[in-house]
Amino acid sequence: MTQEILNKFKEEPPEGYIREGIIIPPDYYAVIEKKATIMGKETIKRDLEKAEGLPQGFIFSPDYTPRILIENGKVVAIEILKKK
Amino acid sequence: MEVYDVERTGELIPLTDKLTDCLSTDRVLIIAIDSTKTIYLWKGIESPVAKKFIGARCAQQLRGEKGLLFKVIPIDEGEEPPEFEEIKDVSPSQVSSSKAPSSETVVSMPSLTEDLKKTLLSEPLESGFNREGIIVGTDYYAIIESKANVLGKEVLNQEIQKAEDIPDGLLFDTNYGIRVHIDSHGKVDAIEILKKK
Repeated sequence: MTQEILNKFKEEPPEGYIREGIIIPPDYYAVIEKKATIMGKETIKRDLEKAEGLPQGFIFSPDYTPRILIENGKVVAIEILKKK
Repeated sequence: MEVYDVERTGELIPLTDKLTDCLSTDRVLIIAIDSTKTIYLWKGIESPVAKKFIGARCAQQLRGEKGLLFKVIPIDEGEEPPEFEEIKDVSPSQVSSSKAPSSETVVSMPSLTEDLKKTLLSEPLESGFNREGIIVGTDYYAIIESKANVLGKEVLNQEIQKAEDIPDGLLFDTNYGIRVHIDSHGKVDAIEILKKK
C-alpha cells in the first residue's frame, strides 16, 4: 500500500521546487540521494526511505511548501517541497 | 480472559503472560473477560496519545465482535478499580491469531485529540504565517472562524472542525508552508498547514 502511494509521486515536482520528503502519516519518507562515479561519470539515484528516529517536537522552515494528495476525501500523502 | 497489546498499526497482539507482567507504562492493553462481559482498556501513563486513541477504537470493535452486552471500561494506569486488581495475577487464555480480533477493519489512523490540539495551539507560529488547517492521520481539520456582534462588540471565535468532501487530487499552492509535529516515537502525528500572510 505504501509503495503504491509513493509510486504516485513518480512525476517531477512543480517547477522551482525539489522534493525533500513524503509524509504518509505517521511515517516520513526522506529522499535519499545515492551518488556513484563510474569511470569518471557521476550518476545520481534518488530513493525514498523511511526516516527513523526523528527528533520529537516541531519542525518548521519557511522554505518548504506542501503538496497534498487527496483521494476519496482523505489525505493520502503530503509531499514536502523545498524551494530551489 | 483474553489480553491484547495494542500496536500503533491497529493490530492486536494476544499476550499469554500473567496480566501483572504485561502492564508496562508505554503499553495500551485490552483485557476481555467473557464471564463478566467486560472489556478493559488499560492505558499506561507513558503510552502515546495515538496508541490510546487506537486502543479505544479497537476496544469498541472487539465489543462489536463479542456482543453489545459487553461494556468497555477505560482505565488509566494508577487508577485501577478494585475489581481490576483481582485479575492482575490471572494468566490469559491462549488466543490463536485467527481468533484475535481482525485488525483489517480497525481504523488505525490517529485523530486530533484534545491533548494534541493543546500541544499544537500552545506553540506560537512563526511570524508571517496563519494556521489554516491541521492534518492528523488521513483527516484534514479546517480552522473555522466565526464572527458575532454582542451588544456592539465584535466577538471572534475559532473552531477546528474535520473537513469533509475535500476534492480529490493534488493540492499545491506556493502561498502555503507547513509545520510538522513529531511524537515521542519519532512519528509524524500532525502537520499544520500554514498560509503566508
